[in-house]
Order: sequence, then structure tokens, then C-alpha cells
Amino acid sequence: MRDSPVRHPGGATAAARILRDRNFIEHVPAYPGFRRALPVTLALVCVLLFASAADAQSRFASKFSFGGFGTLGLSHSGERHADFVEDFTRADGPGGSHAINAGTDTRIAGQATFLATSRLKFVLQVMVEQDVDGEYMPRAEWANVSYALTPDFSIRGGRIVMPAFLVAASRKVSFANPWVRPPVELYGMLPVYSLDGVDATWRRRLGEWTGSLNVAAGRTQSEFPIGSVDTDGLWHVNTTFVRGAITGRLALMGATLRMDWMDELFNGFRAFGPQGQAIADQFEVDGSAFRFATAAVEYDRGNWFTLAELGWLETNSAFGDKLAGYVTAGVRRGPVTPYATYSRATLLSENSVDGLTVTSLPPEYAPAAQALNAGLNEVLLGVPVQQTLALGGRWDFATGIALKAQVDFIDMLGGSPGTFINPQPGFEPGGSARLISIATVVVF
Amino acid sequence: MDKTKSFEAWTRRLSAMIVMAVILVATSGARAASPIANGDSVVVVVSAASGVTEISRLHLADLYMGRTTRLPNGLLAVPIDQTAGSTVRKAFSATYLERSEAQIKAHWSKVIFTGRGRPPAEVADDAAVRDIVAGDPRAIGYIDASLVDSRLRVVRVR
Repeated sequence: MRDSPVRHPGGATAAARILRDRNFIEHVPAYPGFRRALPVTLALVCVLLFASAADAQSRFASKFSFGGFGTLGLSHSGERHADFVEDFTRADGPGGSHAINAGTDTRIAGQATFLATSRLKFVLQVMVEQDVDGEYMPRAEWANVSYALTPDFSIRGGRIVMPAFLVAASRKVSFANPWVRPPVELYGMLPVYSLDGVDATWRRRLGEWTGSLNVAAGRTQSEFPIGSVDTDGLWHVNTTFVRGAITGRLALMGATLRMDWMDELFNGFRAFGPQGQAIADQFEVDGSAFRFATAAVEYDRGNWFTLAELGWLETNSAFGDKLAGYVTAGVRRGPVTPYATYSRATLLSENSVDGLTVTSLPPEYAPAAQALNAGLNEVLLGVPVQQTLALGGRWDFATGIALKAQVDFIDMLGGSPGTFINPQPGFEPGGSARLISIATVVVF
Repeated sequence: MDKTKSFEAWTRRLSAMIVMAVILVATSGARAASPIANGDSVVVVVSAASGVTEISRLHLADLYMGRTTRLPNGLLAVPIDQTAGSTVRKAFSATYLERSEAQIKAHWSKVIFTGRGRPPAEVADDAAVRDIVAGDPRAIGYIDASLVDSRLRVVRVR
């Protein structure tokens, strides 16, 4: 097929199918997320818990620790013709599908840590939250073993945190963060919590600064409603510096995307000779290499704080190049912490393309070419571009538990559907929406 | 989005921000006077056998927030904490860490779930801190100033 100059029927069918699939565009993922559940890990946690209970007085118990965190959240969206989602791993959300939705933020997780020796440590984190099928299946977010070569240098292998962001490790631990959820414009770009691979971390104190350097390599497998997106050849370097109230962080990563559910679209283009091949080479997602860089600063004076983070994504594909970031500021007044966040995602690449030159084709090929052009443009326009002003508050009313409330004023920009999926008749990409969320957050 | 709509949207947002500012001002009156003891009454101690005589406030905070593993003399540190909610711990957190206990808890919830660290060991009271610190040159703790004995050295915090 690749050798044929023009094989339009395949491409036309693919494009038509893609256009017919209403869910196509809204589910184009930003990037890989989570692997499916491993119920077996829950059994492992039970065994560990049982062992620790049965052996509570022994040395084993002192080497074993268990903790957990959770969020019980409800959200309501003023946009009733589509569903708001935190990222594209979700099947639905508040808005068109639910007047009030608990699935967006609600989750519970347990983490077991076993210190086999002072150097050797096992960590297992199991989380239950709404998955790609809308079900609540436990899955192992982290399952790794680490070894401290020195107290300041350790290596780790297994399923480990994907350290892409400032609050990457705690992006699901709402108790640890100011917001109900991290700003979706930035964090939604990379809905990946864990990677399968290895990492090494080195810590050093330099004057009054403490610095850490972390290097990771591996792969990810993620499920989205439209299909799976995997990455391989993933590498990540990040460094954090802290001096008292100031924290700074720089991170750089790269990986190759693997996904097959857009093959028909790009194979369709490839059937249209050199021009089609050039378009496919430029926009094909499968096999494309992406790079992602973030910079963050945090200043926490105790009674007030501010943090800002900027991320730059270059995908070399139809997923586009983006710049996204946010600024948050809050004040702590006793147990009450009001905060405000402005976040924005901007597209650096074009959100439309001329595509195949339909007029220069024989008339019988025109419909197929037009369908392919439309399919590609729908993908380009579907990249979420929006801004949000979020106002909220947190009330720490007891130890380890807090109540949060947040209002998000969302503007989808440049005709983009933003972070809204499942559009129904009446949905206007490029519009505005207001999202109201309340959440009870705990750690234990 | 046309200009009128945009103007209306931002007017709504501005109203929301004003409401929030009012709530902020209103709650500021409700801010309880912290029951924090005078910081001078809590002192940082090491074993008399330890070589450590002084430590910077930032270094001390790094030790208690899990950011460094070493004492100023380069030896591995064993920081000892007191029971959450105790008066002496509140005083220590406020004076030396410049954080409330709730903020410290939020900090550790961040660190613990990375699987990377654990908070310092907690012991029951000043007497327990004295015994542990006296017996371990790597240990560092804090107690009420009136309870320092000859086995301990008070570390100057600069």
C-alpha cells in the first residue's frame, strides 16, 4: 500500500470513519496516563497488612509502614453540552453527562513501605479512582524497590513516579496541594503518574541550599477512551533546589510515542503521493518524538505562599507544540487558606493546515482528500487550548483532614474545545464555562 | 467570544474576587492568637559527645523537613521529634521551622507519598528526647530549656 501512488479508498474510509466517530476528537489524548488495574496488588497489600498486624510487636512491624490519602469530591459544570475532564484519561465528567459528578476528583490510595534493611526499601502504592471505563478498579501506581548506595545517593527500579512536574509525586494527594486539583492546562498535558523503569537520585547540601538531581529512564503504557498510548525510550532529568522558603525546579524529558489508532488517517495521506507523504511525515503521531521541559518556583513564607510553573511541549506531530503554565498565590489565616490561580495553555503551532491540494487531484479523488484534510484539521483544532481563573479556599478543620472549595472560570481559546469532552448539540468550542468543586481531602 | 461577553465574564470574575477579598478580611479577625510558647524556652540539643556546637536555622529546618541527612559536621543525623500537638513541638515548629503543624503535616504528606522519606521519629516527651540524644552522638532534638542536663549540649541556632 505504501508503494502505491494513489490508493484513496483506504484513506477515504479511514477519514470517514474517524469523522463519524463522535468521540474521536474529544479523546485525542495529550499524553500517556495510567496502566490498567492490577487487582493482585490489592491482595499483596492485604497480605502485608495482615503480616504487620499478626506480627505487630516484632521487628518486622517496625520496618513496615502504611499510609494513605483520599479525596471525596463533587463538581458541577455550567457547560451542560459537554463534560469537563481533568485530563483525557477520563470517560466523562460534570456537565453533559452528570449535573453533579463525583468521579473527577474522588479517589483513595494506600501506600505500604517495607524497609528490608537500612538501605533496601520496597514501596507499593495502590489507588482506586475512576478509570478509563468509568469503573473503580484498584491499580498499582507505584511498585518499586530502591537501594541507597549512600545516604545521599539511591537507585530505584519498578513502577516509579513520573517526575514531570513540581507536584508530580503528589498530584493526586490533594491534601498536600493548595488546589482541589493541579491546574489542568499544564498537568493535563501529561496525564502520566508513573513510569516503568529505573531512576537514580542524588542529594547534596551546598551552603544553605539543598539540591537534588534525579535521572529516570523507562516506558509508559496508558489507556484512554479512544485507545492506548504508550511511550518508549523515555528519559527524564530534573533538579530541585531549596533554600528555606524558596524552591526552584527544572526538568527536561523526552520519549517516543506509540499508538495505532490514528494509523488509518495517516496511511490515508500516504496514499496521496509525495504531498500526502509529506503531510503524514509532519503530523504522524505514532513514532513521533516529543520533548517536554518545565520550570517551577515556589516561595512559601508560612503565612502566605506563591508558586508558578511553566511547561513547554514539542510533539513534532498533530498534537502540536504548546506552552502552558500557572501562577498561584494564597494566604494562610489560621486554618483557612484562600488562594487564586491563573493558568493558561497556548498553542505555539498552527491549529489548521491546508492539507492536500484538492483542486489538483482528479475529481473522483476529491471527496477522500477533503475527508482526510477535515480529519487532520479536527485533530489539530482538538488540542486543548484554554485559560482558567480559579478562586478557592481550604479549611484545615482537623488534623489530617481539610475541606476545599473552588470555582474555575474557564475560557476555551481559539475555537478549541479545551478540556471538555463528549460534546452534544449546542456545545460551542471556544466558549466559556464555570466549574464549581468541593472536596474533602484526607491523609492517614 | 465577542467583546461584550468577555466584558461580562470578567465582571463576574471581578465580583468573585471581591467576594473572596471580603471573606479574607472577615476571616482575618477570626485568626486565633496562636498558643505558641516563647521560642526562647525551647532549645535544640545534641549529645555532649557530639562535635556540633551551632547550626543555621535553614539547616535545622532541612533536617526536620527531610531535605538533608547530615549534621553540620558532616555526620549522618538522627533528628528526634516530639508528639504532634504537644506545646513544645508547636513552639519548635513556629520558632525554628517557621511553619504551623498543619503545614508541616502537608509537607510530609507530600514527601511520604513519594516513597522517598519518612518524618523524624517521634518520642513521648522531653525526658525521652534527653535520653535518646544523650546516648547517640548523631541524634539532635529539642526540649524545654529548663530540662537541659550535663549529658547534653545546647546548640546555638543562628
